[in-house]
Amino acid sequence: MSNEAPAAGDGRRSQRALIALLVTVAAVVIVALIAVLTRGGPAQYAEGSPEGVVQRYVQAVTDGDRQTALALLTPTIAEECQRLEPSGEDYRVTLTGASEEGDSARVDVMVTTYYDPGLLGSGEFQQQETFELTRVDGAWRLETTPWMFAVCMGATL
Amino acid sequence: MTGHTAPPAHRPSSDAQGVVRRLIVFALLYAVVVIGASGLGGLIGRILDRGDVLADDSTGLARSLAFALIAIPLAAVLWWWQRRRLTEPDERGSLVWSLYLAAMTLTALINATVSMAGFLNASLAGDWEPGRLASCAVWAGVWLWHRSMREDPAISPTRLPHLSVQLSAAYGLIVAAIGSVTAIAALVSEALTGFVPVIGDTRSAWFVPVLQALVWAAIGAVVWWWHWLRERASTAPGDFGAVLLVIIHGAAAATTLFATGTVLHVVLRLLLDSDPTAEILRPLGTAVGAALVGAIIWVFHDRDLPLRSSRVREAGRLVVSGIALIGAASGFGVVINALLASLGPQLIESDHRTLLLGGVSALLVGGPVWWLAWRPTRQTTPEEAGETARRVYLVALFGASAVVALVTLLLVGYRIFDVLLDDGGGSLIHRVRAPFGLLCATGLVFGYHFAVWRADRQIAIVPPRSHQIGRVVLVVGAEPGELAAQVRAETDIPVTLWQAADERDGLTEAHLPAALAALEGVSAPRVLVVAGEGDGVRVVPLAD
Repeated sequence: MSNEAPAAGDGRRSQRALIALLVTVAAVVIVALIAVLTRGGPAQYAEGSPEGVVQRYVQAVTDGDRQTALALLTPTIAEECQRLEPSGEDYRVTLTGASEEGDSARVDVMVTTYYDPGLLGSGEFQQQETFELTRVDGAWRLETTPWMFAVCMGATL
Repeated sequence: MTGHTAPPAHRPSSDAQGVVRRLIVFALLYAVVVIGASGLGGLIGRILDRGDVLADDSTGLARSLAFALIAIPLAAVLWWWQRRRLTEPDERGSLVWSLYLAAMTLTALINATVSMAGFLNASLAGDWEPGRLASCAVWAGVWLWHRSMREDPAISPTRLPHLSVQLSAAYGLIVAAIGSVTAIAALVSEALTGFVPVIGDTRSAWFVPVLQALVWAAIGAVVWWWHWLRERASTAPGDFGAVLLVIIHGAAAATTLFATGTVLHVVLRLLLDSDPTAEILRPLGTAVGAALVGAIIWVFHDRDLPLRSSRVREAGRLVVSGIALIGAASGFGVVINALLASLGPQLIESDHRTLLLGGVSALLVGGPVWWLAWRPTRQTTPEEAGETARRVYLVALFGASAVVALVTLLLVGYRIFDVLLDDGGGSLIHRVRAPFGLLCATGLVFGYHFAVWRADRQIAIVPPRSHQIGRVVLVVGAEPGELAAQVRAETDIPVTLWQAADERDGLTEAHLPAALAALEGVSAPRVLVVAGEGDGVRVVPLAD
């Protein structure tokens, strides 16, 4: 009898802990769903800023708009461009830092790549990448891009 | 006496032949069943997929035809031949039979679930892949066939009879856990994108990865529920069930603690670190999912530990204590590492801060859990000090400490000599801080547990073993039923079956109560049990 009482107490405690954990999971899922469903689209950066140039370039590459993408590269690279097809994966690009120094600028991003689900669910991986820009006739133009957004061989890091 | 103890002269070679024969037959059966199922799955897939690939892929069709038309009849013949033998107690009690059944059941289950999940996930992504559905149907058939073997009272294995159910339950749990963690991680990561500056997102539907992970979670949950609860793997007798439960309990605890430490690290970095928010938040989704799912599995299985025995409960507690101790000690080592890093010239401030916060997180999570599990302030009783689990735990800790100390000492020595011999070697503190931090933590762990071990040795009372028998040899008749399994379950002693030449001399299930009573108090490396008058038995302790 003396052993049964603590065992029953342990059982009740485990039951309560289990219910609390399941409620927490439900709360996390509901809050996450609300956050996802109520968020807006990506912020729009000023067209003249390095971040804005990177944003327009990434959009053009993923839309398959090669002309716009080429127009955002430095003229030297655009003229000597050897065509390179984008990889075709899905990406999310998040800004992690931007800096300017004279006529040079760099935009640091974190690229999340989504690939076909393999064993045990969805697949994604993240990597830090950098876009390097230079000022040409007062406008920022891309000098190097991460490999997954390259449209010309010369523009790849 | 010699006449009673020595087995017949031809027995060893006969046993060896039997083992080799079973190994060959079951290995062949496993191979032809896998090949046949693969061929049949390929053929059905082609029928469902006809028009797309049939005309272009004659090599694949030829392979599927060969696999199906040769391997399936071979499997049928092999099984028909082996099925007749399995009615003999030696065959049913063979470890090879039990291992074959477990391996084939698990292979079929894994293939069926992977094919089903692949089909559903491809459908969610807008692709129609009937080949996967065909493969799922074929492997489900193989699984059902082997389940019927396990359930057949005439041939079901008497040794490790619950192995396939227990392994299947563990597989289901792993799949359900990874699927759930992936689904929660994908959802939380998606929600966090609202708090970081997103430049671009090329995906058309963010929820597809979440649904795909949920498919895995659902399939895993069904597999686990079926085997763990409905087929009662949770209460299956035997040591393997207890070991499996402790492993699941420990793995869930390790996942929860590591993930909780990661969540705490992210929170501390958000408050105190200067790195970009997107980089800091990167591991949060997976950590939240792993912490929640791991905790649910941990708590759920924690309830089952005391139902097994007090020894299993103690083993579970010590495993959690060991895992938490590893976390806390690693955290302490990393804190020392970060403190030493801050002594020298600082080129990158953020790295040291991240390191320090990581160490603090591990210490804050591991320390309290270790305290609760180990209860260092509680007075140790002589019975507790003599428990095997506690002594194994302490010896394992000494072994692990010795290995870590040796490796870290070698590293410290190498780097000291490297600095001394190399003129431009840089700061000695910076070169040795990481191994030195771990060495300090290991020294603390070793010192404390050595004191505990010495104190235990002075007060320990080693409990007497209830059964001082190494193995029980049962001389059985043609229909021993579940006698071997029941003796094993009741006494926890390994059992060997010998077939009596005369049916009247063999034990049956009716002899179980008398056999258990007769074994009480007997002490010998091996004990022979033969049928006596009526339902009585005769127990003969054998010399070593």
